[in-house]
Amino acid sequence: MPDHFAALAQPRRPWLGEDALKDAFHRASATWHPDVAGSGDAARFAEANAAYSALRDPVWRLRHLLELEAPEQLARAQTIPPELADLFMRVAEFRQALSAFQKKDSAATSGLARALLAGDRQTLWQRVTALNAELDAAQDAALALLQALDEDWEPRAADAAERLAALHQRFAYLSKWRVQLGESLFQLSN
Amino acid sequence: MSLIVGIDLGTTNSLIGAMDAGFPVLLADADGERLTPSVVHFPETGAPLVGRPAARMRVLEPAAAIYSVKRFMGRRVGEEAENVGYALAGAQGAPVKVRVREREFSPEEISALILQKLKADAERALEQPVTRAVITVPAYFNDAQRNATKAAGELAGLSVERIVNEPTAAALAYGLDKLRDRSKIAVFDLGGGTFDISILELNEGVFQVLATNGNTRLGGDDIDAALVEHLRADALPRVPDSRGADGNVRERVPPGLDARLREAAITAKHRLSTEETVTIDLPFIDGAHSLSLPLTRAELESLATPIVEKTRWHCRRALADAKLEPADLDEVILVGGQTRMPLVRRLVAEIFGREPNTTQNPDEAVALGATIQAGILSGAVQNVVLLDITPLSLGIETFGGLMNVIIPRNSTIPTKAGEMFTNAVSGQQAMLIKVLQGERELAKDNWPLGDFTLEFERAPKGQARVGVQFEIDANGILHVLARDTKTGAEKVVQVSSAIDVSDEAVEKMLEESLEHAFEDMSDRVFTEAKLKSDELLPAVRTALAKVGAQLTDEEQTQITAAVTEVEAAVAAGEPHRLQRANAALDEATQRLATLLIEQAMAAGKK
Repeated sequence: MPDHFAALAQPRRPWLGEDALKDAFHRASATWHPDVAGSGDAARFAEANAAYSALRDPVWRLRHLLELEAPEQLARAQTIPPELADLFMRVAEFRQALSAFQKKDSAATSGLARALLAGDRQTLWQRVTALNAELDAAQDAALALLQALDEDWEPRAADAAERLAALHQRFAYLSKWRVQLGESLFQLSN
Repeated sequence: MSLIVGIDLGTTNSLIGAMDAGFPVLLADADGERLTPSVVHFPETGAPLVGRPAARMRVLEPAAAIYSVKRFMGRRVGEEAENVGYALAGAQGAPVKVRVREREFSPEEISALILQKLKADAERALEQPVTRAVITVPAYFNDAQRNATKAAGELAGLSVERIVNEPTAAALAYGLDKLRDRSKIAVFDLGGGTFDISILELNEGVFQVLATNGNTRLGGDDIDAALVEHLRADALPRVPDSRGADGNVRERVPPGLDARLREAAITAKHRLSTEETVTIDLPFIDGAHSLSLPLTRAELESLATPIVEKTRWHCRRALADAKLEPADLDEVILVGGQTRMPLVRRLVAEIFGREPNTTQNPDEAVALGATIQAGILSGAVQNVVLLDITPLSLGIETFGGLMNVIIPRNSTIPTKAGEMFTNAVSGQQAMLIKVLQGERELAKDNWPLGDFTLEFERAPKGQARVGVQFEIDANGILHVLARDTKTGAEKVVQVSSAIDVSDEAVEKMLEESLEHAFEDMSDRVFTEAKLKSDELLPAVRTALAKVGAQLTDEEQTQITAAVTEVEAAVAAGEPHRLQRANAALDEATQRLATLLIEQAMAAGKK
């Protein structure tokens, strides 16, 4: 198991500043990238590259932290966090509606038939925009929790692993929906 | 370290450069020219001509003057439109070949001739042998196209030290004197045959590409082709010889007309970037008559708009992938000759909400950047490093014909990812792995890179395990390494390239395409056209009920007439008449469609 935190000389903590992490990666690249005459080192760059992709996203960062600190937590069954259950239902409903719309839309071969679907498209666009705003708010709330966890971070504390695992799950669902709905918004805008 | 040159091997023009006292310098040929047209002419006897003398032969001997060969690099027959003035060869599905004077050449061989000319120019200018090079490719080139480019370099006697992406190279040229800056830029690169959009972050000498997108079949050539088509339609009726007894234009056209029209179209296109109207003179078009065709910038723009508009989707995709809004960017850099067109600049300004940066010479920025990358590799340029990405997701085909992504697009390269394979049944000895590149969910919709066979030792189900490592190197080229988990023995797996399909496979594909050809075409045409009218007619009724009142009487009459014609064509069972009637109805109801969309938008705003 590689230690991605060590590879970029970062503290082994739940919260890492986005810019500080990027700068660490850029510094590592400026030294180790195989193109750099003199100090280039393909293996070291590969480590830094893998570490940066693992640490920049909270989902993967928390997952890696759990792998290092409390691997038993990762083996537990995954359920949708109760606070996200309602959002999950609405995301699922929207995705169903979108896929029904896309079926009709891709079957339409004439400009007129597609124009007849413009009303539906507009409604879906509004729905996904609203849902995205909700997801952004939920992500911000989760980030606030993450920062709070980081402030009194003590990996040996009794509930640290549970809190970390719960947050990891929350980020994992949010991230999946954010990708899906971001893609939906992109498709509806074209 | 010995000298490394930087080469921009373009669709239309190619350039070569070398570092001189810390600065990239482009090298001129014996005539003092830095731009070498990417054209090779094969005279009846003697050595092939490359560059300007070859370009001059395009009008005189179009079938022997090979241009835009970059479009065919790493391509198979059937993938690429074949609207070029020279002959192509190769069976359906096999690598494209160029046929000239009874001989066949691969696109790599033609490209190698261009590279050899550049190499000789550089050796003359630098007064030393040149054996190592960095060559640029469109960022959206796939594995096969990159490999073909590398092969062309090697055929020309160059050791290819790096394949670098064109927009990334242009960013290096832009950013070399701004190494202390931190900024985010987009490079919009519309060349002769390809389009790329790349988004980069510049951070104190680190050039990190965040996202890239593009289309390797979109460029100035398409505008030229549309313009040639337009001029042809304009010119033919005026050439008496091309009219038949019935007064209709016959398909037989004066020989060499297309090549002359293409030449005239390109000149007119260039001039219309600064002028509002031009007159295209074609003296003695059929030996006797001369033509003079007027063309306005507005006409050119209306032909080019549908082509240029295609860049919009790619720009939005790249921004979304980089998780940026246009306002987050500090500059949008234009490169590629086609970005001189005012229409392109207006579109870029609209997409990104800012005036584009035109400080870079659109023809030279990529070659300068290739030269800088060559300088980085040789140690002549310090404190600069390029973090490029792979433009396409790499994956393998899994059960159900789905694509399983192993390295997602926009991953920083060089990168590697492992995948574990186990035997699905007891005693299974081998497994065929198909490697793909692309973004589609179904394996068959992606580009097949090739396949390889994994060998298992005899073991109960799920017990034999082989780890496979997929590595994309700094050139964007794939390498596969398999490791037996028991013995730990590693071996490089040869991925048999999809482009060298076996003769048997080619024959099978050929048979299939022949079967296809024997299907009753007119039946199929009618069925398809009928499906379309079945959709169109009820759509017209619904739309008329919704917004018909907003149409003028004239528009109403036109639609009614078009509907009647569609119904009549269906009743008569005439396939081609129905196709035409559908198209006319489509055309007549365009305003109806606009009204519907406006109504929906207005309702959405409430």
